[in-house]
Amino acid sequence: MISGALCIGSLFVAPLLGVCAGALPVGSRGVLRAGAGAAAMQCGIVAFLYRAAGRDHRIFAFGNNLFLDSLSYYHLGLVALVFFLSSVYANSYFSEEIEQGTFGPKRARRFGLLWNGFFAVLTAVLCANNLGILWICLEATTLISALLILTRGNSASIEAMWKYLLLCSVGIAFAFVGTLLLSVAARAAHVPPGESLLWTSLADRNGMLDGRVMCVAFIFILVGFGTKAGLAPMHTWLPDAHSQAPTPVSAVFSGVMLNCALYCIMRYLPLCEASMGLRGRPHAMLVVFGLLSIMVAAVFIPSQKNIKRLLAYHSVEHMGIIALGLGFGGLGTFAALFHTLNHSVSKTLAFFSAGRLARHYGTHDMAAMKGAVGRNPLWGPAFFVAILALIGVAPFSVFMSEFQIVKASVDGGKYAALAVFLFGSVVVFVSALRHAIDVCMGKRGPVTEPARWFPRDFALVIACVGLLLACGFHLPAWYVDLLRNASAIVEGTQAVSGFAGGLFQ
Amino acid sequence: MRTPADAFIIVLVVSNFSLLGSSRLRALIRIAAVQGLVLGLFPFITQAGAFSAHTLIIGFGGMLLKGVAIPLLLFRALRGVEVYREEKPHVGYTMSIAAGIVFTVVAFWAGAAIPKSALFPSPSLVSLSIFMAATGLFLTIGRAETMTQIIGYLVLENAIYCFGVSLSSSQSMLVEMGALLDLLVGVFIMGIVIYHINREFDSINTEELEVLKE
Repeated sequence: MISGALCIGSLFVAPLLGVCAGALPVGSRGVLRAGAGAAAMQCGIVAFLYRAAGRDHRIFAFGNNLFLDSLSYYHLGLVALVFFLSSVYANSYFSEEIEQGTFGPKRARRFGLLWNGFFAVLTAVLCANNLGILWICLEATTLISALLILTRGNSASIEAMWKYLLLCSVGIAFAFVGTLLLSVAARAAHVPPGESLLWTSLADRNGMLDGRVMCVAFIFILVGFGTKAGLAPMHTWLPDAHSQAPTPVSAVFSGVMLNCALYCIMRYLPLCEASMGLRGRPHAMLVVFGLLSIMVAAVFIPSQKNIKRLLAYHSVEHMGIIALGLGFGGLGTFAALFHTLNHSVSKTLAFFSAGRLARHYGTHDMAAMKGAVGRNPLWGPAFFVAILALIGVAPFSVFMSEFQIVKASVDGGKYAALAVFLFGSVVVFVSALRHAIDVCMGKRGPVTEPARWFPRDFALVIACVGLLLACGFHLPAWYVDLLRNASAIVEGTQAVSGFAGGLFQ
Repeated sequence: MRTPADAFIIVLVVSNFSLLGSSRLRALIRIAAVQGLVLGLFPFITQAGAFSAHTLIIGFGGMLLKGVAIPLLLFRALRGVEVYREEKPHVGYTMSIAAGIVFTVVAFWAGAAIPKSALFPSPSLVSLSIFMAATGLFLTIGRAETMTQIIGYLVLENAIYCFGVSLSSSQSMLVEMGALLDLLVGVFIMGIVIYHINREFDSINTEELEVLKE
């Protein structure tokens, strides 16, 4: 029998070891390797905990303020995976700067400290049972990640950091109002004062919280955490921050930070739905924000010139798709969680490729990035494949999750929402494909640096593409089981049925 | 004025109008500090003599952070950039005062609509919170200097603190202290950004931040 404190405490060992590596007298490469090692260790710890102590049981620690359940495990695994991929990539990404002496040990230590600190607070968000602690940790992610945007220290990154810091801090302040209102609503359910913010205590009294207060609370929560998740119309910080951060940071922003903000909304969703009489109002709000995000992406993606801003608007679209799936409920929730993994992996690959191509061509301007497939035989095709995955081409897994969301909308008779979703998706499909063809095909544009890659880069591309294809063809039973349990938590019900692991089954 | 809380509410309402009508950054920081000190007294007033260690720590902690530590950080940042006035606000000062009057009417009308109950024991504090939140957001959006925007954010945080007191919500001390610590670190980092903005753009006016405009 493993104690709860030991289980949950072990999740912080790897990120904290990464933080400590920054204090050791190691060079820039040593700091970056330590980050990759810490993330690999975290992947192993999450997998071990899920197999040994997790599955159907909640684990509590530190006065019930921290806990683990299937929804936490799922997101913890995702965070560890994306951090591992991005940490490995960071070793290649910064290699030229290390050789040129512009990414010396001092800068590397600062980067390593912030990178692993960011990893640790994201882990804390996903382990929080106390919704106050969850809010504090999510706000802490804003503060730490803001400094990561500033890694280059040029005028554009300062501007992006300022917008990110101010907008997200103000946005998350609204979420705190929602959290306070939740504690007020808990009084109606006679929750003991010390437990008024414990998610498990509130979930055990589902339906007994004050419905009117919870309705107002959910609006604040949705606007507050929605700002951090990049849902339109609160998304304006996202294209700037994603485009100005170093590429490994952009990858973790898009691949996990946005998901963690949506995770916070997922925790509130069943509480609000049950206390408001299961009439679907919180779900309807999510559908509205989801559709708005998809349409904003459809408007801005066709006119993008900067390759990283293009990917940032894709993030707005995919956050919208996940919100839409959550809004549909039932099978939609299952598909939304599945889409979370698919988006994270495909967007991580897309940012990796875009970052290396931008360095190769010496610009982020897509008009100057021509014939990438010929110029860079690894990252050029990888970018094209990543865009195909992102726009939902079969047999990549994004197609599967989007197909399930369409099925959920048809099953629920939500045809108007489906029409808007399909229209937005078609616009994004056509315009993103055009951008990808322009960048990857045609006459080769001039480059400023020779194409260069490392064996680990091959491994990264193969791992990401392999995962996207594998999940598109077949989902292993343990993964379906995990998704079903996580969906049931978001739904506040029993496990979702009606989804089989194989393609089109 | 029937209770000490009413006197403090008047002080805070007046301080909000001072924030809306002033262009001098030092004065703005001082007013925000006064708000922090007054708000730190609220937990003592609402507890009506039944002081617990929790009340003492939250009250004094709030006063120390919002009334002393954060203003000192902001004064230090201001000395570094040598900018002392809001030169070209997005919204003029007369219009700002007019907006303040509208905020007051709407906030106290909304507060009056909330019945006094076990869930909302102090509707007037809820009104004050709404007014302060509107003022904070207005300063963040309607002013161009980054320092004034930080003060707007601080006023918004003050509004939330006031709202928390109005609900008499007994969060764990860990949560309340964590929220205050986040605020302190947030303002500290914003101070660092002001330094970087001034170094890069030779100004702390957000009008200069247009590299990323689409």
